[in-house]
Parts: sequence; structure tokens; C-alpha cells
Amino acid sequence: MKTAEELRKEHLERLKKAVANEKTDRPPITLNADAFLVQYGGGKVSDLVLNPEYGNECCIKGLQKLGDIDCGGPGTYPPVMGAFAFAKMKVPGRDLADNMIWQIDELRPMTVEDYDVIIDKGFNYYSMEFQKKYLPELEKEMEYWAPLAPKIAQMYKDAGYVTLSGDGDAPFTIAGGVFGGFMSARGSKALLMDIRRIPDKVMAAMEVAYEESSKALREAVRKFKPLTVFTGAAGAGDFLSMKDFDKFIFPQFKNDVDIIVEEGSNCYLHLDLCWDRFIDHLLEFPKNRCVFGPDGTTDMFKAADKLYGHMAFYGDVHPALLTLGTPDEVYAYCKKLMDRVGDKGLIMSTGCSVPANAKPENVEAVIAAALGK
Amino acid sequence: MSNKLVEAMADLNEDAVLEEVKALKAKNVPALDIIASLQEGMGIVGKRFEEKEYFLSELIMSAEIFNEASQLLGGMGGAGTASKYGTFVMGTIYDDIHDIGKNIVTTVMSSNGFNVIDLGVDVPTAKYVEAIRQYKPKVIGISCLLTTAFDNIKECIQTLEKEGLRKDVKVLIGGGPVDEATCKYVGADHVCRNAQETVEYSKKYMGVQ
Ligand code: B12
Repeated sequence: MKTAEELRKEHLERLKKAVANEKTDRPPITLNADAFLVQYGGGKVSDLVLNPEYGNECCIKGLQKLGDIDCGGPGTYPPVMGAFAFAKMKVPGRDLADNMIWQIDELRPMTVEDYDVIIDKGFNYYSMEFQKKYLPELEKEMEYWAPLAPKIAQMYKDAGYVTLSGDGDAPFTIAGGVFGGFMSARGSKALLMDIRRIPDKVMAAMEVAYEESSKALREAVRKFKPLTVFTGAAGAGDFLSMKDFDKFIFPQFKNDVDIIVEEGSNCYLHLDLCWDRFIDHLLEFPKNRCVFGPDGTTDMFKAADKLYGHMAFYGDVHPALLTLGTPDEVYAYCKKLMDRVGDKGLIMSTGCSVPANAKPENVEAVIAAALGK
Repeated sequence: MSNKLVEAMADLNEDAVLEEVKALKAKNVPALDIIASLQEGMGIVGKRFEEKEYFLSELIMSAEIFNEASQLLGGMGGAGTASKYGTFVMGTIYDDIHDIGKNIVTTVMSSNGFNVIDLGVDVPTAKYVEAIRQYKPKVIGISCLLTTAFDNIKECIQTLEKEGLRKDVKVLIGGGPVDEATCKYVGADHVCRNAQETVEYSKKYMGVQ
């Protein structure tokens, strides 16, 4: 029987190799599955809110019950999740029934005039002012969570788990890049019209925001040197023409990747929505320093035709398959993926998150496939 | 038909559309004829979207320009086209707050001649029932991005059945993880992948060629 320390070392070595796009004995496994795991481990989703230590303990039990999972943590506390989405949180146990998934209720406060505020005073200033005014409760939640977070992160470590993107203190780029941040603040419909009506104004504000975020990113990567930085860009899928994608999204995304790599870390590319149209772009990123992480929507196999050999893969069982599919279907999907890209640089996971109502036997099938059972 | 207006609409030239609508109005061209030109332009936008020359950003912009132009004509009601194709009731199912896709669908549907009733997000079954009784739509839309809410759509459709409302409405569903298997599971009529498809299917179900 290996000690937790030995297990952790083994997990870390495996994960490092996979990230570097090297051969591993088996794909390391990571699950973004808090709402599923807490229940699978004997708790309720509301435990994560009302008693986060106990809730996360249940998640750890859930991980242990599933088998030899490599990654876990650093810990979940839903009430602080709205911070980056300009959103109020509705959480189970307080606003919602015990086993409901939390809701992120975006307030979309940003007006056309606010572009000038951002140009003058910065996006950080704008965000802080917003939080003070509209989310006064968030500060208290952050104060409550601040001392708990490292304690809970340590619980996962003590159980032998490693994290892909740092232990909660590590940097990540603004969720979805500056474009994603603006999308939350302004609302997607309004932003998409702004980039047609007042493109120069939007660009000027985005540049100011990016200046701030890229500086913070460089400092944080230098300080914490996480294995990977959680990065990505909103605006994929059918939102924009290639011309607009190349103007508003890709340059900043590429620059984030360059900063992270220059500072000695790697990139976990968290890619929401369909990236089929943009796969060629990803070939511009440095070789063997990125993990391609789609959310179940991008065609993983077509992507592999281009990206295999250039970067590692993270993926990517579809949430609907985990919920409505059968274990055989899930197992077959994972095997197909492993046959295609699994001989090196594959991290076994699901597309973005495991649904709270995934069938346990389907999640077990993902693990069985990865462990070679 | 004003070619200039059709073209400006298709090219999303907001200023040119509004100017031309004003000019035509000043020349006493009937509102219905002006709307027909705008709709011709919207048809081209739809085609360009299908051909992947336009994307959601262009689709939303076209709907916005169309709505502004019809305001100049006294609103869709004023132009006498409020329910050219009938009423479409839509919302995001309860427990789910995703609305980006829903808002695109409702915007595009209303600029394509449907009278849209938007029920918002986190919509309980009772609200669908009430809206169906009140507006008697032939087609309703349920948006859902969460697998955890699939059972809610199922419950909603079963309730429509129990209330005797199901046979008179077609139920379209859509949203990220929703697929054919979901459609079958919840008992809906059709999954639409995007707003343009929603327009096509609703026209079909409402008997518009
Ligand atoms: C943006 C986003 C958010 C935003 C929502 C912003 C908003 N106001 O809507 C925020 C950050 C707030 C959010 C929150 C959450 N999200 Co979210 N989110 C997404 C994301 C990345 C994109 C959705 C989107 O806007 N797409 C763009 C639009 C244009 O596309 P669309 O919605 O599919 O709509 C088009 C078509 O589908 C169609 N359509 C849509 N609806 C309808 C309806 C009808 C009738 C018809 C005919 C057509 C139609 O037309 C639209 C236009 O073309 C998806 C990923 C994905 N791949 O879908 C995850 C995703 C939906 N989210 C997910 C999750 C888990 C959550 C959270 C629980 C987060 C968490 N883990 O903490 C919360 C809480 C949500 C809740 N309780 O409702 C999961 C759901 C997994 C599951 N269980 O099923 C997804 C699938 C990500 C993933 N792969 O894990 N999310």
C-alpha cells in the first residue's frame, strides 16, 4: 500500500509527463466534478456551501471510491464563484434545494458609457467598483473562504491528489480572456452589437483591460510557477467571423500563451464551445507546452488530425453522454480517444465539468477505460 | 421592392437602412411594402449565415436593424405584420439560467415575422401552461444547457400532455448539450442547432412555405 506522499509523487510525475506530451504508463485522470463527487461521496451539494470542509471531504471520499484518480482539488466553495462573472450567486442550501446545482445570475451592469470609464481608469477599477456596489456580500464570502481555502487544498494533497493548474493560489487568465470578461459585464448580445457599431471604442477598452491582465498574469506565473495555467478564450463557436476572431480574440489569447510559456509554465487551454473553425490557429502555440481542453463540443478526432504531436489532449466526454448514455457507450468513446491520442500526452477527463446528475456507472466507465480495465 | 433597401439590410448597413426607410415613408410607400423589402434582406442574411459568411454577431445585428426600422414604421403591430407567421413562446427551463442562446433565438425569430413571447430564464412549467393558454402558439421553444434540467423539460412536456395542450403545439428544444437522444428522452418534437434553423422549423410547423 502506497502512502499518500508516494501516491502524490506518482500522480505528479505522470501528470507532468502528460502535459509535456510525453509517454505515460496510463493517462492521468482529472475530473472537474465537485457537484457530482460530493453526492457520490455521501454528501449533498449544499454541504459545499453550508460546511465546505465537510463537503470537500465528501468530494475526496467520492474520488477515492472511483479508484486511482490523479488529480483532485484544490477545493470548491460556490458562493465565491460569481466574482468573475459580474454575477450574484444562488446556492443550494440557502436559495435553492439541497441537491440543486448553483446558479450564476449575471447582472450585466456595463453600459456603452462604461467603455470610457474603463479606458480612463481600467477594467480592474471598474470591476472593483461594481463589486462594492452590487455584490457587497461577496467580500464577506471571500473573507470567510480565504483562511479555509489553503486548509481544504491541503486536505486534497494529504489524500495524494495533485492539481493541474495550481493549488488555488496559482494564476489564471480572466475567464475567457478580456472578451469573455466583457461578455459577462456587458452581456453577449450587446457586446456583439458594439463590436459592429463602435469597434474602435470596444478595442480601446479591451486594450486597456488586456494591459492590466497581461501584466498581472506575468507577475503571477513568475511568482507561483504552476504546472499549467488555466487559460482560454471566449468567442469561439458561431459567434464571430474569422476576421473578427482574428481582431478581437486571438491576438490576446496568443499573447497570454506566450507569456505563460516564457515564464516557464504550461497552458491548459480551456476551450468552451466549438473550436472546429480555429484549430489551425492553435498550431501557432509553442510545441509541447499546451493541453488542448475542449468542452465536448469540438470534434476531438478532427482536431487530433492536426494537433496530435503538437500538444497534449484533455478530454472530453460529453455531458449529455454521461447523463443519458450507457456505460458501454462511454467506455467505447474513451477507448476510441485513447486509441487515437492515448499513447502520449492524454489526460483523461470529461468536457469541462461532470454533470451533477451523471450516472455513476458512466463516470466509473471513464475511470475503467483510463485505468485499462 | 426597394433594391437599395434589400441590399442595405443584407449588408447590415444600419444608417443606410434607416435612411432608406425614412425616404420611402416620405414617398408614401406603404409600410407593408417596406417591410417586405426588409424581410427580403433578412432572407439573404439567413442564407449568408447558412453559408457561413455571416455568424451570430451578424445575425443579431440584422435583427436589431430590422427592429429599429420597423419602429420607424410604427412597430411591427403598426405595420400590420405582428403575427405574420403566428406566435412563438419561448423560455429557458427551470433551474437553468443560461440565456445567451435563448436571446439570440428570440431576437432572430421576432425579426423574421414571428410574434415572440419571451418567458425569460428559470421558467416553471406553470408559466408555459399559462402562456400557451393565453397566446395559443402553434410552436413553443424550450432552451436548456444543463443535463441536470433534462428531467425538467420532460416534466414540463408531460404536464402539457396532462393539461390537454400538447396536441396543439410543436415543442422545439435547443441549447449546447441537447441532442437527438435528449429530444427523444424528453418527448420534444425537434432539436434546433441554431436560430436560423428555428426560423425554418417554425415556418414549417406553422404552415408557412
Ligand atoms: C456561457 C456559459 C455559461 C455562462 C452563462 C451566461 C448566460 N447568461 O447565459 C455562465 C458562466 C453564467 C454559466 C454558468 C453555469 N454553467 Co455554463 N456554460 C456556458 C457555455 C460555455 C456556453 C453557453 C452559451 O452561451 N453558448 C452560446 C450560445 C449562442 O449557444 P447555445 O446556448 O447552444 O444556443 C444556440 C443553439 O443551441 C440554439 N438554441 C439554444 N436554445 C434553444 C432553444 C430552442 C427552442 C431552439 C429551437 C434553439 C435553441 O440556438 C442558439 C443560437 O444559435 C456552455 C458550454 C457549451 N458548450 O454549451 C456551458 C455549460 C452549458 N455550462 C455548464 C455548467 C455546469 C454551468 C454551471 C453549473 C457552472 C459551474 N460548473 O459552476 C453554471 C450554472 C448554470 C445554471 N444553474 O443554470 C455545463 C453544463 C453541463 C451539464 N451539466 O449539462 C456546460 C455545458 C459546460 C460543460 N461542458 O461542462 N455558463
